[in-house]
Amino acid sequence: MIPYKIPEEKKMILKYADLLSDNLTVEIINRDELRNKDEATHLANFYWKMVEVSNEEDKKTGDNSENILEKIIITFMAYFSSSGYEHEWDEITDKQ
Amino acid sequence: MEQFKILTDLRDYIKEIESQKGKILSRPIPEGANPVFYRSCDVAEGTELIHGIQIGDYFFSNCKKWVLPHDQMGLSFSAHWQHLKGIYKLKSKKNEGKSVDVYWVLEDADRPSGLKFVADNDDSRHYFLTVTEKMTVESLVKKLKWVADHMSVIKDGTRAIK
Repeated sequence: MIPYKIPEEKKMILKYADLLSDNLTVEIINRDELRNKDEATHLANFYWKMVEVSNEEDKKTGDNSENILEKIIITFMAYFSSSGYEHEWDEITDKQ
Repeated sequence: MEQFKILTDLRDYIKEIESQKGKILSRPIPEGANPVFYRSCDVAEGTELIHGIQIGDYFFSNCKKWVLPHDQMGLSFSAHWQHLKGIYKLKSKKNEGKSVDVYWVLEDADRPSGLKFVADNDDSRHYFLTVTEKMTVESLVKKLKWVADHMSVIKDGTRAIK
Protein backbone atom coordinates (compact mmCIF):
# COMPACT_ATOMS: atom_id res chain seq x y z
CA MET A 1 0.00 0.00 0.00
CA ILE A 2 1.19 3.50 -0.81
CA PRO A 3 1.48 5.23 2.61
CA TYR A 4 -0.23 8.56 1.90
CA LYS A 5 -0.24 10.92 4.87
CA ILE A 6 -3.23 12.93 3.63
CA PRO A 7 -5.92 12.14 0.99
CA GLU A 8 -5.05 15.29 -1.02
CA GLU A 9 -1.85 13.54 -2.18
CA LYS A 10 -3.74 10.85 -4.11
CA LYS A 11 -6.18 13.44 -5.45
CA MET A 12 -3.30 15.54 -6.80
CA ILE A 13 -1.57 12.54 -8.42
CA LEU A 14 -4.77 11.46 -10.17
CA LYS A 15 -5.44 15.03 -11.32
CA TYR A 16 -2.02 15.23 -12.99
CA ALA A 17 -2.18 11.67 -14.36
CA ASP A 18 -5.42 12.72 -16.03
CA LEU A 19 -3.87 15.97 -17.27
CA LEU A 20 -0.95 14.02 -18.75
CA SER A 21 -3.27 11.28 -20.12
CA ASP A 22 -1.20 8.76 -18.17
CA ASN A 23 -3.42 5.69 -17.88
CA LEU A 24 -0.73 3.46 -16.40
CA THR A 25 -0.20 5.86 -13.48
CA VAL A 26 -3.97 5.94 -12.88
CA GLU A 27 -3.96 2.13 -12.87
CA ILE A 28 -1.01 1.89 -10.43
CA ILE A 29 -2.46 4.48 -8.06
CA ASN A 30 -5.92 2.90 -8.05
CA ARG A 31 -4.40 -0.56 -7.59
CA ASP A 32 -2.24 0.92 -4.79
CA GLU A 33 0.74 -1.21 -5.73
CA LEU A 34 3.72 -1.42 -8.08
CA ARG A 35 4.03 -4.81 -9.79
CA ASN A 36 7.42 -4.63 -11.50
CA LYS A 37 10.49 -2.50 -12.25
CA ASP A 38 9.00 -1.05 -15.44
CA GLU A 39 6.04 0.27 -13.49
CA ALA A 40 8.40 1.68 -10.84
CA THR A 41 10.39 3.53 -13.51
CA HIS A 42 7.16 4.77 -15.08
CA LEU A 43 5.80 6.12 -11.78
CA ALA A 44 9.11 7.80 -10.87
CA ASN A 45 9.16 9.49 -14.28
CA PHE A 46 5.56 10.53 -13.81
CA TYR A 47 6.41 12.22 -10.50
CA TRP A 48 9.05 14.47 -12.06
CA LYS A 49 6.81 15.23 -15.08
CA MET A 50 4.10 16.25 -12.62
CA VAL A 51 6.54 18.63 -10.92
CA GLU A 52 7.43 20.19 -14.28
CA VAL A 53 3.81 20.58 -15.40
CA SER A 54 2.77 21.89 -11.96
CA ASN A 55 4.99 24.92 -12.47
CA GLU A 56 2.97 25.86 -15.55
CA GLU A 57 -0.31 25.14 -13.72
CA ASP A 58 0.78 27.22 -10.71
CA LYS A 59 1.49 30.16 -13.03
CA LYS A 60 -1.98 29.83 -14.57
CA THR A 61 -3.87 29.46 -11.30
CA GLY A 62 -1.69 31.53 -8.95
CA ASP A 63 -1.62 28.58 -6.56
CA ASN A 64 1.47 27.00 -4.94
CA SER A 65 1.77 23.23 -5.24
CA GLU A 66 5.21 22.91 -3.63
CA ASN A 67 3.98 21.74 -0.27
CA ILE A 68 1.68 18.99 -1.54
CA LEU A 69 4.41 17.84 -3.96
CA GLU A 70 6.77 17.59 -0.97
CA LYS A 71 4.26 15.42 0.85
CA ILE A 72 3.90 13.23 -2.26
CA ILE A 73 7.66 12.81 -2.73
CA ILE A 74 8.01 11.80 0.94
CA THR A 75 5.25 9.22 0.41
CA PHE A 76 6.75 7.95 -2.84
CA MET A 77 10.29 7.69 -1.43
CA ALA A 78 8.91 5.67 1.51
CA TYR A 79 6.91 3.39 -0.79
CA PHE A 80 9.62 2.83 -3.44
CA SER A 81 12.08 1.98 -0.67
CA SER A 82 9.78 -0.39 1.26
CA SER A 83 8.61 -2.18 -1.89
CA GLY A 84 12.13 -2.83 -3.22
CA TYR A 85 12.18 -0.23 -6.02
CA GLU A 86 14.58 2.27 -4.47
CA HIS A 87 17.06 1.76 -7.32
CA GLU A 88 14.45 2.69 -9.95
CA TRP A 89 13.51 5.81 -7.98
CA ASP A 90 17.13 6.90 -7.59
CA GLU A 91 17.98 6.24 -11.23
CA ILE A 92 15.20 8.56 -12.42
CA THR A 93 15.80 11.16 -9.69
CA ASP A 94 19.50 11.32 -10.55
CA LYS A 95 18.56 12.35 -14.11
CA GLN A 96 16.64 15.40 -12.84
CA MET B 1 29.63 28.62 6.74
CA GLU B 2 30.06 25.92 4.09
CA GLN B 3 28.98 26.18 0.47
CA PHE B 4 28.34 23.54 -2.18
CA LYS B 5 28.77 24.08 -5.90
CA ILE B 6 27.52 20.70 -7.11
CA LEU B 7 25.29 18.15 -5.39
CA THR B 8 28.11 15.69 -4.81
CA ASP B 9 29.90 18.40 -2.76
CA LEU B 10 26.81 18.53 -0.55
CA ARG B 11 26.78 14.74 -0.22
CA ASP B 12 30.48 14.64 0.69
CA TYR B 13 30.14 17.50 3.15
CA ILE B 14 27.22 15.82 4.94
CA LYS B 15 29.15 12.54 5.06
CA GLU B 16 32.09 14.37 6.65
CA ILE B 17 29.92 16.06 9.32
CA GLU B 18 28.25 12.73 10.13
CA SER B 19 31.56 10.91 10.49
CA GLN B 20 32.77 13.58 12.93
CA LYS B 21 29.63 14.56 14.84
CA GLY B 22 26.83 12.01 14.29
CA LYS B 23 23.58 11.84 12.33
CA ILE B 24 22.27 15.11 10.93
CA LEU B 25 18.69 16.03 10.07
CA SER B 26 18.20 18.55 7.31
CA ARG B 27 15.72 20.70 5.42
CA PRO B 28 16.41 22.32 2.02
CA ILE B 29 15.02 25.86 2.15
CA PRO B 30 14.59 28.21 -0.84
CA GLU B 31 16.00 31.73 -0.71
CA GLY B 32 13.73 34.07 1.25
CA ALA B 33 11.92 31.32 3.19
CA ASN B 34 12.31 30.46 6.88
CA PRO B 35 13.74 27.04 7.89
CA VAL B 36 10.79 26.22 10.18
CA PHE B 37 7.93 28.66 9.54
CA TYR B 38 5.78 29.06 6.43
CA ARG B 39 4.52 32.21 4.76
CA SER B 40 1.16 32.18 3.00
CA CYS B 41 2.99 32.33 -0.35
CA ASP B 42 4.77 29.03 0.51
CA VAL B 43 1.59 26.97 0.73
CA ALA B 44 -1.45 26.17 -1.40
CA GLU B 45 -4.44 28.47 -1.38
CA GLY B 46 -6.73 27.58 1.53
CA THR B 47 -3.96 26.06 3.66
CA GLU B 48 -4.41 27.31 7.20
CA LEU B 49 -1.35 28.71 8.94
CA ILE B 50 -1.16 29.70 12.60
CA HIS B 51 1.88 31.87 13.33
CA GLY B 52 3.61 30.24 10.36
CA ILE B 53 2.80 26.67 11.43
CA GLN B 54 0.73 24.55 9.03
CA ILE B 55 -2.35 23.08 10.66
CA GLY B 56 -1.65 19.71 9.01
CA ASP B 57 1.92 19.50 10.31
CA TYR B 58 0.97 19.27 13.99
CA PHE B 59 -1.96 17.86 15.96
CA PHE B 60 -4.00 20.90 17.00
CA SER B 61 -6.85 20.98 19.52
CA ASN B 62 -10.29 21.84 18.11
CA CYS B 63 -9.96 25.43 19.33
CA LYS B 64 -6.51 25.57 17.68
CA LYS B 65 -4.96 27.18 20.76
CA TRP B 66 -3.15 24.00 21.81
CA VAL B 67 -0.83 21.56 20.14
CA LEU B 68 -1.18 17.96 21.29
CA PRO B 69 1.46 15.22 21.35
CA HIS B 70 1.71 12.97 18.30
CA ASP B 71 4.70 10.79 17.40
CA GLN B 72 4.05 10.85 13.64
CA MET B 73 3.32 14.52 13.08
CA GLY B 74 5.71 17.43 12.91
CA LEU B 75 8.04 19.30 10.61
CA SER B 76 9.77 17.03 8.10
CA PHE B 77 13.52 16.47 8.09
CA SER B 78 15.67 14.26 5.87
CA ALA B 79 17.91 11.85 7.76
CA HIS B 80 19.67 10.31 4.77
CA TRP B 81 21.42 11.63 1.68
CA GLN B 82 19.09 9.86 -0.79
CA HIS B 83 16.08 11.42 0.92
CA LEU B 84 17.60 14.89 1.08
CA LYS B 85 18.57 14.69 -2.61
CA GLY B 86 14.93 14.08 -3.64
CA ILE B 87 13.59 16.95 -1.55
CA TYR B 88 16.42 19.25 -2.67
CA LYS B 89 15.70 18.57 -6.35
CA LEU B 90 12.00 19.19 -5.84
CA LYS B 91 12.68 22.52 -4.07
CA SER B 92 15.07 23.58 -6.84
CA LYS B 93 12.54 22.78 -9.56
CA LYS B 94 9.75 24.61 -7.73
CA ASN B 95 11.89 27.69 -7.09
CA GLU B 96 13.55 28.39 -10.42
CA GLY B 97 16.18 31.10 -10.24
CA LYS B 98 16.42 30.95 -6.45
CA SER B 99 19.14 29.33 -4.39
CA VAL B 100 18.17 26.47 -2.08
CA ASP B 101 20.24 26.31 1.10
CA VAL B 102 20.39 23.24 3.32
CA TYR B 103 19.63 23.88 7.00
CA TRP B 104 20.66 21.12 9.38
CA VAL B 105 20.82 20.11 12.99
CA LEU B 106 22.46 17.19 14.77
CA GLU B 107 19.94 14.53 15.80
CA ASP B 108 21.45 14.49 19.30
CA ALA B 109 21.80 18.25 19.73
CA ASP B 110 20.05 20.06 22.61
CA ARG B 111 16.42 20.92 21.96
CA PRO B 112 13.70 22.73 23.88
CA SER B 113 11.68 20.46 26.19
CA GLY B 114 8.60 18.93 24.59
CA LEU B 115 10.17 18.54 21.15
CA LYS B 116 11.65 15.29 19.89
CA PHE B 117 12.89 13.93 16.56
CA VAL B 118 11.11 10.70 15.67
CA ALA B 119 11.64 8.52 12.58
CA ASP B 120 8.68 8.16 10.19
CA ASN B 121 7.14 4.69 10.68
CA ASP B 122 7.01 4.38 6.87
CA ASP B 123 10.61 5.46 6.13
CA SER B 124 13.54 5.56 8.55
CA ARG B 125 15.28 8.11 6.27
CA HIS B 126 12.59 10.67 7.14
CA TYR B 127 12.09 12.23 10.60
CA PHE B 128 9.42 14.40 12.19
CA LEU B 129 10.18 17.10 14.75
CA THR B 130 7.35 15.99 17.03
CA VAL B 131 5.66 17.47 20.07
CA THR B 132 5.76 15.19 23.15
CA GLU B 133 3.63 17.22 25.57
CA LYS B 134 0.54 19.43 25.31
CA MET B 135 1.59 23.05 24.78
CA THR B 136 0.12 26.32 23.60
CA VAL B 137 0.66 27.36 19.99
CA GLU B 138 2.68 30.33 21.27
CA SER B 139 4.93 27.96 23.19
CA LEU B 140 5.50 25.79 20.09
CA VAL B 141 6.33 28.91 18.07
CA LYS B 142 8.99 29.92 20.64
CA LYS B 143 10.47 26.41 20.66
CA LEU B 144 10.56 26.18 16.86
CA LYS B 145 12.19 29.59 16.69
CA TRP B 146 14.85 28.32 19.09
CA VAL B 147 15.45 25.31 16.82
CA ALA B 148 15.70 27.59 13.75
CA ASP B 149 18.19 29.84 15.54
CA HIS B 150 20.38 26.82 16.32
CA MET B 151 20.38 25.30 12.84
CA SER B 152 23.51 25.39 10.72
CA VAL B 153 23.38 26.13 7.02
CA ILE B 154 25.18 24.87 3.94
CA LYS B 155 24.85 27.56 1.31
CA ASP B 156 23.82 26.82 -2.25
CA GLY B 157 26.61 27.94 -4.55
CA THR B 158 25.40 25.99 -7.58
CA ARG B 159 24.65 29.15 -9.52
CA ALA B 160 28.28 30.19 -9.29
CA ILE B 161 29.21 27.66 -11.97
CA LYS B 162 26.16 28.02 -14.23
